[in-house]
Amino acid sequence: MSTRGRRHALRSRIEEVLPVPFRLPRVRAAVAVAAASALALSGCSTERESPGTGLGAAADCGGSTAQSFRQQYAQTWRQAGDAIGLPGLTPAAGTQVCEIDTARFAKDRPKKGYRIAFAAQGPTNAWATTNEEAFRYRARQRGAKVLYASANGDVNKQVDNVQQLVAQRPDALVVVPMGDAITGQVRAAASQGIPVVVCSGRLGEGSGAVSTVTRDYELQGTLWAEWIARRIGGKGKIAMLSGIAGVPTAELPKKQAEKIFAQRYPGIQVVAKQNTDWSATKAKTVAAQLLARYPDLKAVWSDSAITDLGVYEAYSQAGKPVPPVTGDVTNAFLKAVQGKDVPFALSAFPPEQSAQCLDTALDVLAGKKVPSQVNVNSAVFTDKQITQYVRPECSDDLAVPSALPADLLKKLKLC
Amino acid sequence: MTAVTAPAGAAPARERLAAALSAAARTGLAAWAIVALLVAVLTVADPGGFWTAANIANVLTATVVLGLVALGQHLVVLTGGIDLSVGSTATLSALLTAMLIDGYPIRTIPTILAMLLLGAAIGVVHGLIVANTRIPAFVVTLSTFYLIQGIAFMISTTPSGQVTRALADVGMRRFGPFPLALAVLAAAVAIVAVLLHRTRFGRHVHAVGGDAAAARSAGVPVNRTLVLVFVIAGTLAAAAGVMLAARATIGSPNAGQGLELSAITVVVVGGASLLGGRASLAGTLGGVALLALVESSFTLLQLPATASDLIRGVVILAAAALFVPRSHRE
Amino acid sequence: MTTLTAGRAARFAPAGTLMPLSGLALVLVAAAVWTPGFYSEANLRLVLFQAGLIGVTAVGQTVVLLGRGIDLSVGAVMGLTTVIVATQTDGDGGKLPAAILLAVLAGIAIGAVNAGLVVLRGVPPFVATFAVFVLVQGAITAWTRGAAAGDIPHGLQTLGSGRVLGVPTPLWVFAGVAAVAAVVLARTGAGRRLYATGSNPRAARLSGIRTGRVIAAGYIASALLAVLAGLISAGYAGHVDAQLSRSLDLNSLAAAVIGGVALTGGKGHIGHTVLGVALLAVLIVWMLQLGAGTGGQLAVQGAAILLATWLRQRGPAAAGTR
Repeated sequence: MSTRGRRHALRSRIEEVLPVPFRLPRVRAAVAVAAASALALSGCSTERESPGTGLGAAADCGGSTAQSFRQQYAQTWRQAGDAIGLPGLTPAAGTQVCEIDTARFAKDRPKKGYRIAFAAQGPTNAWATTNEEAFRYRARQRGAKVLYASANGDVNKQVDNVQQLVAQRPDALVVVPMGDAITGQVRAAASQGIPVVVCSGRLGEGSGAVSTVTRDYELQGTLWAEWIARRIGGKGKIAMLSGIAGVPTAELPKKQAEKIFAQRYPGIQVVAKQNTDWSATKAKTVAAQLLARYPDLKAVWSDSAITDLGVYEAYSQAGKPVPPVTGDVTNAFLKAVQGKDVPFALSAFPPEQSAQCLDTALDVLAGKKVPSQVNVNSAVFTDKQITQYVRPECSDDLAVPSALPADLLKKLKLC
Repeated sequence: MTAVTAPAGAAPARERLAAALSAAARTGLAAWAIVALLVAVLTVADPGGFWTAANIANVLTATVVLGLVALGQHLVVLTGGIDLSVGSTATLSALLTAMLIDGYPIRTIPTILAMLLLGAAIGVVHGLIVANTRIPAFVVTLSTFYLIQGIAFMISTTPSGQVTRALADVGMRRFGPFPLALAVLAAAVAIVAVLLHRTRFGRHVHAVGGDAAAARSAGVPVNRTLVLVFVIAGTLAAAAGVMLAARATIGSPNAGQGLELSAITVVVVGGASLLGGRASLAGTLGGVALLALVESSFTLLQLPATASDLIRGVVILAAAALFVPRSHRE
Repeated sequence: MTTLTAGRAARFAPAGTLMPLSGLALVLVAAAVWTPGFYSEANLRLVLFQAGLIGVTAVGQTVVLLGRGIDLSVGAVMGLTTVIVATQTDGDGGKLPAAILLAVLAGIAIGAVNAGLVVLRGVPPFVATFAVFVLVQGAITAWTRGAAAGDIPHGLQTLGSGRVLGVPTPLWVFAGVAAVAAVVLARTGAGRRLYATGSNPRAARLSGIRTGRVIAAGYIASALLAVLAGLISAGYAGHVDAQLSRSLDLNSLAAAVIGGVALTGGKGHIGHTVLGVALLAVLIVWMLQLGAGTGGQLAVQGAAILLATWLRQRGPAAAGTR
């Protein structure tokens, strides 16, 4: 109501102000269009826009297929919890698993195979390198052509990358998001009819992505928090060490864990929250400080085994028992603590999940129904099972347990 | 070439070459020469991919944010200063743009204006400190580089907010090979060009950078000029932040990280002297185009990502080493 | 107004040392009031370690700054050193000397490239060393394919995490480096030539100093000290730190600037640097102690730089010193 009234007022005002030639009918129409677009730009609506609607494929959240997808999702949570003695975990509130009808993306396989664009992190660390190699390996297996772009770990670079990849009209786009800043470009891709699979990460609502295939960040945060709570009997001082400030992989599990500690364990006191930048050097410095400041620290919640390595180094050097730690899995940490008394619970964020992302993208192109969210299964274990997972003969950088074939690992100098 | 020339003629020939290179760098011709070379290489390497409207639009889009920041840096460098805080300012502006608009169309214009004011305010602070104390601009802006980034992290460590569709359109829409966002950069370039070459302010900027003491005794309002220059740089950095938010559609606390170094690199590659007094606008724009082209060629040609940093470093190094003219005061 | 500067500068000279000193005292007192735990033995040891690590690179940075330069490639050289040590030895102490030699050679090469660009081509030091930073980082990525593997030999751990007389080894290393640098700068011809070059390159050249050589020596010294810092860092973490080479480590620069070494060359001495390093190390550890998040830490670091320079350099703008 208010919009239309104001628009009318504006038009009459334009007519008053305009010089005579501009009052010609055709010009007037043009002016009206210009005014309307100016209005759209200045935005007279006081209502909040919903982020991207009407994009992507039709989602069915109530049907029987959706139901079974949802059950599969819940199953991954239960299994992960059971693995380290936390029975009955259920997906975090707000997890919405639907069935996506991909009929409109269905495409015959071209002779040379589908062209799948892959907006990757870039070889900034071993995880990312493995992530990319696993994708390429799977693509070779399935006869798909990869169109690659490296973000070099930088989200702004990735914004350009996604735009550039989309310009080359791939059949599908798989993106390992460096941050939410690419949401707009992903939406633009989706609006051009390119199915997008978000891989090893997550974007906010309205990205227009067909499916998100990743290890659930909330599950990671929950596993680490609940295990610590159980381990220390629900009370005592703990510290939270997360990776790089502002990066979703660091912020989301942390947020979930904070919620769990605050809501379910009033006896647990989070005395310190620090960023370690996923650097063992910085983690050791931070841990050395924690050690000095809080001699009665019961556990360290962390999102990475790299951080745990720093914690281990700091405590063991000071001759103190290492507190229970959590994180994802690296061979370096397992090799360092094997045979030592270090209590831990780890849940992997497997780099090979990119293969599953590719599979989902190909499913979409085949017109198969896919879940809107896929929780990637991963190894979840504690210090009791270390011998099953540690690979003393392999590189520190190997993400264990690795699903990649031995010859590829050898080529990558990982094993 | 030197092998062909007689030994006696070798030295002058080399000197003439050096002088020619130096002149090319000063006028900004050098940067554009490399751009032309790169375009030629890309045309030969991938004729089907490079000249498509979409690809040209990508390259041009990539120039917008960097270009806005580089323009501000250009002015500051002209006065003999340096602004290390532009990346942090852009980050703060991008984050706040998305958070304050938060999807309400009615807030779009006021928020953008507020951001530009914020950038200007940051510039005022820089300018006043640099003009009224003996602290070098490098140190002042190094400290605000930390400070402003710190503030952004204190506001939010997670991506938040949401821009309106209209603003997102400015960041993404294109007409053939021309992205709409380029209009923003073009407007900024026009304003800065007029300011520099058609106004008294422009003459003052050059005078301050050339020799501040002489400028002062000649009656140039040195302090006011300095403050104004930093205000423009801050405002442009904030505008770059708005564009970052428009492209991202949301705000993140690390949106503009690293922009300051790219901006300085671009200005120097464009032939500016960091000692002040001399910089060519055409050169700076050439530098922007060069960097955007290099970045886009990695994906276009599917070059191995492990080599991309190496190539990037070599290009910057080569451009700097070949075309940076010797400083005239040494 | 300009005629004032000379006199002022002279009068402010003692304040140049006083300001960081009083700042240090202030932070130490504040830490005592707010977080008494700051003075626990373990915590103080952490401060000393931090000071040692930052200090070694800060001395190199000081030498470069005195010659009117700046070195942004410090972080990359440190990272490269850890990667060289890890890949070449893979934990085998016997191969350590060869790996260190290789790292030293790499350091000299990087320093020489920096120097060559600055001295021979007249590239602004800021740009030259930044380009080298990107280049070295790129070289590491291309060489290791993003995954630097290998163990750090135990022998190196004594350098990084060892203690002598209860004080962390890195601090002893820093003390040694600082002492040598102080003597060289204050008592030798080389030091005098560096100051002369930094304060007035043309005059220095006219008086027969080969300024190019002096500046080049500065960059090479800085790169070598960065190699040393890389060895310390590798020994401290005990593992390759992929993050190390990716960060443009500005701590050495911040320490020198906080301490009062002028960016314009020729002004400042190692005493300044030592104070700046101490102030920065105390600040960093205290921020951790206070539990300030990344945002707070960055903000405080920024404020410290501004405040330290402001307090020292208060006064009207002097022509040409911007």
